[in-house]
Amino acid sequence: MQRARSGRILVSNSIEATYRLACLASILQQPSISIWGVIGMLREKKILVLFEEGIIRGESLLYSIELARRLNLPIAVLMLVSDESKVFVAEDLLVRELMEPIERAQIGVSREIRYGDKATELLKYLASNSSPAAIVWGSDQKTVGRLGWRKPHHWLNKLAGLLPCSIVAPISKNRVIKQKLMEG
Amino acid sequence: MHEPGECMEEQSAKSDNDPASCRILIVDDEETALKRMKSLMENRGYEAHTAASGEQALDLLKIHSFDLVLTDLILDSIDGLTILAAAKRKSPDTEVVIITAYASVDSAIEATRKGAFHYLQKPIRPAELYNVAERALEKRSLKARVRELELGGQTHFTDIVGNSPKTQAVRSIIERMRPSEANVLITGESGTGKELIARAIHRQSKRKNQRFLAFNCASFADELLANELFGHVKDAYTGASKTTPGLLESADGGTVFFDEVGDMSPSMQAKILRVIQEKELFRVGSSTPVPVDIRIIAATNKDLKKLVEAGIFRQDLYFRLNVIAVKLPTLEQRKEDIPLLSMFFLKRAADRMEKNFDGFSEEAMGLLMNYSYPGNIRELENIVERAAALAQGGRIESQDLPPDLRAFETVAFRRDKGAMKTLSEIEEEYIQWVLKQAGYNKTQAAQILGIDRVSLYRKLKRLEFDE
Repeated sequence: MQRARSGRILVSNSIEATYRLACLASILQQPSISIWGVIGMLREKKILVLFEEGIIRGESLLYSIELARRLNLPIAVLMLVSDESKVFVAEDLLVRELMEPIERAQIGVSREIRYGDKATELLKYLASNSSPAAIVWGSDQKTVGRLGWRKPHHWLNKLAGLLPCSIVAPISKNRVIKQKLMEG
Repeated sequence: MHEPGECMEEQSAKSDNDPASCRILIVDDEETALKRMKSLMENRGYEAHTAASGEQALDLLKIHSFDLVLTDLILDSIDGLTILAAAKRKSPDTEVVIITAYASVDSAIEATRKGAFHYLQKPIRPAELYNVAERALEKRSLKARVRELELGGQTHFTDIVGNSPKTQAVRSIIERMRPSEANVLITGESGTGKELIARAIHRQSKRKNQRFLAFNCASFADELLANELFGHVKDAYTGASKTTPGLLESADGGTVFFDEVGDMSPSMQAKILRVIQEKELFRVGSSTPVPVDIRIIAATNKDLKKLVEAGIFRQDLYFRLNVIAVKLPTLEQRKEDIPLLSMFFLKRAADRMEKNFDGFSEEAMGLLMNYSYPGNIRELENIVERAAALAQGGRIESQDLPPDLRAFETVAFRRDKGAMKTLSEIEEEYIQWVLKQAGYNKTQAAQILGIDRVSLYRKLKRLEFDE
């Protein structure tokens, strides 16, 4: 784990970090084609699964895994919390509840926790990463109604029109299939 | 449509005849054989790339399109047949020649059945290799020529499927820009078909007989991007053993498609601006300008205007690119096209899989219509292809569709700036404002609102306002 300057905790996948170092070292010595592949892999699009305040909905995880499989993309998990004191609890939760099922599904995954103003932190995250192919809202279902946002003052609304892709929130409609998905 | 990390190019039949414009991938886990074949191919003037393993070959196939793939059949973990399938999936026109030291009739039949052009046995004789490579490339060239003739005079809009007003508007814009040589900026979410539109624009332009080169700006680090686009001179850096022209030079006279242009670094923006303004470029390590004539079609899923305001994207480059703007709708915004698009993808998958389908059951189509498609058309295409692979034939039923489409309802949040508010939203905002004015005193707020405290509590509970 590494603490970055701009008030965030960055937890990087160790394989990814190794690749980055390997690439940097290799670029100077041998500009071979294989390095291009690695760089391409590192900067590819991802499914961004967005959580806030340590709230994780199971269906968003299941849906994200299916979507990632369908689009053949890795998953990036971003947890936004309001203050630094919640970071370690959130980190523990991410490891326990999210990383294992995603890795078991053999989908590439990276995770990051940011604290502070959530809208700002999300924009900063998007600015420092390549645009996600889609964003899945993974937290509080009360935020989501069948007709759309139920909380017009939710911080995500501040970002209307600023996001590069849609945000989708899955809501369970069939418990039997959901159960099968969870078992699978 | 192409994935991150890809660089694809489409060549006219004319340029296919030039060996320098033919890109060949050689895959072999024996280093000596790999080097020898590379040297043989380069001696003939071909652009040869090598991969020492199946994994490396698959990575390269993601990045580039190749005219010809020469692959060993037996590799460490991924065999030649898998590479054959991947190459054909990426570009059906790519020809594949299987090479092996362990020739057998069975594997030869299997390879040709899967679409290999030919089968060569080790040790490779140069004359035989040249002969097979030339014939394979000639076949590829002929296929391109036939397609060109078949499409001649048409608007090349056959892949732009749909009759919704938004789709018709896009077709109309492309049709109107036919005589123009101006640069184009295509905006739209990931998976909306930006590259497809760029190709359609190229195919109807005066440059249609020249190269179309697609490049994803987000996929490469800056130094590597510069090297790939502008080429380099000998000794420009350690390992640069000879002068190599860049992709922009190879597309001279044609069209270059820059996908995800919003991710381009400031230094790269300056270099591209120079190419547009001065119609020349500098190879890495050189101060001698090389003239180039290319039309640029750029695409992004970001709001470039906002990036300009934020100082992230150069305003002059933005104006140079945004001469003609094409905004592509999300699939959510053109839902009425879903049945036509689904049938289009189903027919294409059925042809490839040699199956027959009547269409979709009402329930299956209902599920397709009610889904939000964050991955847009690309996602619909994947869903239909998966269903076609699972179904035996006849109709696509709901159980052939991914389980999450049946398990979850998806709500998409995408409110455009300045969208009209609902009555409920205005009520919520007003309650919030009154509460604030009343210092969050609910009794006072209820009095101002003209409702009793219980009603206010009920509303607050429904709206889930934070205390």
